[in-house]
Amino acid sequence: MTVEHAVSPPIASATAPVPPSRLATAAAPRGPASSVGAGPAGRERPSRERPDHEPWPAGVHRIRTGEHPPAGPGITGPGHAVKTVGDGGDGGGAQRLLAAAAADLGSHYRRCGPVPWRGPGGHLLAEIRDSGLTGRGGAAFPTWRKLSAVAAAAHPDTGRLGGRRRAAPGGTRRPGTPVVVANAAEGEPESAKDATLLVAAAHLVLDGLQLAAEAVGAGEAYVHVKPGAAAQSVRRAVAERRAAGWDRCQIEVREAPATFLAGEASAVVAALEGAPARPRAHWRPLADDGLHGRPTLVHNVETLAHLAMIARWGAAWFRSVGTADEPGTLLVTVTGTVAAPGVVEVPYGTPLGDLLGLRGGAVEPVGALRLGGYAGTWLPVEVGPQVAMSRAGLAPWGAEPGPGIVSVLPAGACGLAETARIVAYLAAQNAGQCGPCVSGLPQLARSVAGMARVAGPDTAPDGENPAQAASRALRLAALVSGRGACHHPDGAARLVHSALRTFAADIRAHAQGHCLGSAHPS
Amino acid sequence: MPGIPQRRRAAPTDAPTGHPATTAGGGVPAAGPARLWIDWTACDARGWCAELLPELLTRDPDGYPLALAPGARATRDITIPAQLAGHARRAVDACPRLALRLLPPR
Ligand SMILES: Cc1cc2nc3c(=O)[nH]c(=O)nc-3n(C[C@H](O)[C@H](O)[C@H](O)COP(=O)(O)O)c2cc1C
Ligand code: SF4
Ligand code: SF4
Repeated sequence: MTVEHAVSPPIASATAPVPPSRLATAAAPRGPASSVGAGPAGRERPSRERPDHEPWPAGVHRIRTGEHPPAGPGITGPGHAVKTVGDGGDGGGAQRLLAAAAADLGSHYRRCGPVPWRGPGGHLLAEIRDSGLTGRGGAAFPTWRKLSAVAAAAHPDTGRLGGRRRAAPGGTRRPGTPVVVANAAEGEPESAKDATLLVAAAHLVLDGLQLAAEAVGAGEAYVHVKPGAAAQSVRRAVAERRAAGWDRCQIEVREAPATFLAGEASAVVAALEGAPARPRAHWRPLADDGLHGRPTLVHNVETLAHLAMIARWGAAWFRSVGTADEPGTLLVTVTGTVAAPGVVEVPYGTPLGDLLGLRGGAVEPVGALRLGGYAGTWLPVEVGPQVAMSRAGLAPWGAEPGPGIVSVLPAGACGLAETARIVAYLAAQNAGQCGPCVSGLPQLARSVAGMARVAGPDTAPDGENPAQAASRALRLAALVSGRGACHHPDGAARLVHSALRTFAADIRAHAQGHCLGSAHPS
Repeated sequence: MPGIPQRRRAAPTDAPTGHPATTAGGGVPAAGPARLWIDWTACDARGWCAELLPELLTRDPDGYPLALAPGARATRDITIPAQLAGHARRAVDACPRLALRLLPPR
């Protein structure tokens, strides 16, 4: 689908050879390692000197050095895994969403132009399908399928794009007018990308919300946003748009409680209905039966921002970075022992070493990485800095980008103690509704705490030995998986499984009465 | 443990009341195997379902139903083989918490 656009895409377009470094704004955090190799002063050592037991030393480890085109659009053939654009000293980052930062509606208009309304029908849906956009809330579900499902639920005869209609079980319900929701609850404690995006480019997100509303024929739009700077930014933006008559669908801003589960899609719907923000058992998808029984689309705010970009600059532009199977960029919160924790925007397929480099690299030798936040997956340091940030790149390690969080554990820290801390938090955050989760997560947390204790002086007289605790944790993790109204227990189980894989040597050491930290060959 | 049935009850002869969509597909006979869905927020571990559907379900140490199929994700994917459809229906109808539902095949 070709559309003439008055406004040029920020990067990667032949018509707009603007280096991203000039477009990146103050609001878009840029790592101190923009000057490559500078890293945290004096920490970079030649690889030959690295001792074997320290496979990922402190500092910046660039993987794609010299591989980038000097500036401007970088399009490589389909055989190439990664197409990185405009390496204007940003070490492989690609500023798209963050380059669309705008302090107010006026500057948003100058940068991005008006909302590219597409009218009713499946025009935008087809563009989104061709773009390959997937949800950035964690599950990476194809965005067009959700849009299509909501449109189909509301308009059974015309709505669905390229899919077969299924009779909704339950018979003759009137579906009602669809509802669209921008999910900015960002309940994951380590994540900062949604708030960063909303503070930088609230109008882009709200344009995406409007376009999604138009595509599914929604009558109402909501922003479910965690308290703080993000909520202030959204409120200000909505007020500006109201005054300017910018929107076609009324947007209501609601503050989400600061709990881990507040962003789970059915909890979002519950909160918008005025109930506590707890997940609901729902056997029909929210696309069929959401807010007050109406077809409901819940998207992460980053997904909506990408959608607004694709609506303006097209699927081909979107696919010009990232990999063929996982096109585009993603926002990643980099946290832990890095020089400058914060948010980066990178194409899918960016090596983890480059990604950390954008935030100054590790300030201590790396012991392990955690991908996807508290409900994510531990990666042993042996994966090395060259592993790609993509589902394909991480799959061999049983990990996935999830909601875009990379946490760096220093080699001196104990991965089991860190896991115990996180599982205790996840257990305390369960919504108290489902038996296997309510009873299972605290038991799981106790077992992981047992693994984290070093046998000997601090083992309680009746306490389990760390190895016994590990096998109990394995059993309990299997027992909670998939047995709740939401995927919260699955996330906790995933983290524990990955800890058992990654820190097997630590468990043995704990059982023998000493702690390795996480720096060891396993 | 409150009232665990000792054996399978006879199949109800008339349509179940109270939860209209227990028939997969809302009254339309399903083409393939149906799935058993558990409302974990409603289930209170009385265990009737495991008694009535021992081929598919057992109970965990707390009494909550647990899929026997290895790797089954117990929220959605307990597939009901055709020959057990009747028993599954009875389990659905017997659940005192109305926590069970038969879903049409995907
Ligand atoms: C325990 C739990 C917490 C979640 N928290 C969030 C959240 O804070 N923000 C978010 O966007 N999605 C969250 N999700 C995912 C949402 O349920 C939903 O899949 C997502 O908002 C859909 O948006 P997307 O299609 O744009 O990815 C959470 C899921 C679970 C199971
Ligand atoms: S599975 Fe756990 S967290 Fe999810 S709704 Fe049930 S009790 Fe709450
Ligand atoms: S699903 Fe129903 S029958 Fe089965 S254990 Fe739970 S409450 Fe009892």
